[in-house]
Amino acid sequence: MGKPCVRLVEVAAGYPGRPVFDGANLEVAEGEFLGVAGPNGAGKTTLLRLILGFLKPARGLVEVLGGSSSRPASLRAARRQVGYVPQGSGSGRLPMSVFDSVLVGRWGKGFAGWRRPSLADRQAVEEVLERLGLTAYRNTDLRDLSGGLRQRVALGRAVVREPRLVLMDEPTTFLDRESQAAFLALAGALNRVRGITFLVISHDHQLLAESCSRIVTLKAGRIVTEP
Amino acid sequence: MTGLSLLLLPFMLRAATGLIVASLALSPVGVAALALNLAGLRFTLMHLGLLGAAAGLAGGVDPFLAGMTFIAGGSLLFGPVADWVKLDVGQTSSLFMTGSLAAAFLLLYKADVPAMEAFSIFTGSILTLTPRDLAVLSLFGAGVLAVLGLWYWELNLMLFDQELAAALGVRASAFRYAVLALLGLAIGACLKLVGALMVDALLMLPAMAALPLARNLKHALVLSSFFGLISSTLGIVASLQWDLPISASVAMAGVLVLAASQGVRSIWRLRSSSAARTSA
Repeated sequence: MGKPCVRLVEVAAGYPGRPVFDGANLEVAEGEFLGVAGPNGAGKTTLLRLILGFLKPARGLVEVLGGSSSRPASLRAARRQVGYVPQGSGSGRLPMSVFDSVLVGRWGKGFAGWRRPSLADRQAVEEVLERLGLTAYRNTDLRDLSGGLRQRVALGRAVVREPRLVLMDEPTTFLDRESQAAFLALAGALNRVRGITFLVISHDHQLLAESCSRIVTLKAGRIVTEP
Repeated sequence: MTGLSLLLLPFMLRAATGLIVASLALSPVGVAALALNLAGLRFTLMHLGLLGAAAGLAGGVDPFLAGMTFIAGGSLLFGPVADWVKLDVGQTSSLFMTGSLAAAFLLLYKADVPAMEAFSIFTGSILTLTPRDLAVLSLFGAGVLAVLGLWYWELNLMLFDQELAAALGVRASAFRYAVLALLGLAIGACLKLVGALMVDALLMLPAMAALPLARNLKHALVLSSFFGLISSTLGIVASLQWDLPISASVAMAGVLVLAASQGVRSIWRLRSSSAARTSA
């Protein structure tokens, strides 16, 4: 196993009156395509919240890209190198073109506040659209796309950040079987070609088994690596 | 003097300028409030304004100034209090609204303040706008536009997906508090112009008219300003021409602009669906 991209050491975490993890350990190596399986309520989203720094562990250590997620400075540094595909990734309340909805993925990396998106930011978006076969839709309102295309845009938004790690929360929930496989194949190609580490959360064990290099399962507050 | 020639009177010119400045600069705040689902909070802030007016009257302070201060203070406190008591926005809104209304009535009763004077905050007093008020309003408006320009992409991200925004590093809670504060301050600024009941005419109606026609956030912000300007101008002209109350005229013009934008939207939809049928 290579250098860990994500490391959880003896982590206890949860919510008031509802502990989720107790003594959980996990190492995700750089370049891995890791699947996280488990039934509803097992703590899959809690794991992502820990990695994203939305939830602090009550005990133990959560390290992302070499820095503790409890320290604001290292969390900020990590976030610049992490792409995130949330569940049912936003169609937003306002119209937004496919181009702009990928461009927002560069926020904090290429631009923020007074710093406007540069030519380099826009070129990065064009490249990602091309790579993901989305160029024809660049001016289409995201809300007019099918679920499969929308998730492809969400993947584009994550990778346009030039991340070392991409976290995906049930990214294929609203897709049919064919689109699910196509989406994960695309993510797999990015993993192989660009070396981006992927951590994919899904309740669909079979789908993860078809696409991931390793699967861990959440059981009784622990993270268990499958043989 | 009758009709548009009334604009030659300094106080009338100030009133018209104030309305136009407010509609240009503050209507975009309505876009952010609507899109972040904070629009319902304006009722809470208005009740805080009533409490402020009652407190002002009881303490011998200008009720408008006191009302605006309470609204500004309430809008700054609302977000952190909601997070602290761990209630959602709707519940916290009810808490603030009921509490401030009860406190206002208690204050009016115990301090023996004429209730109608406190309620004058709901009707506005645009003709009493002073040059200083106008200067403050213009500065505030310029500040609002600068803030929206500065945070354009952050706002875009927040309106798109708040969880994603937080994951990328946007301080989502602080951002929501800031939009809330901006909304409160904008309501405060509108109070003297059109009164609390007509705040929607300047803040919400232009935003509601802009959203269905906008292609992105930038369009929505610019269109809301434009529709605000149209509503104000039509309202002022109608008021002067036909001797109508200004605030009601501006609000009615806002309703008409909203109806027109919905009409245009319907025509667009019909055209695009018939074009799709033709190409199929």
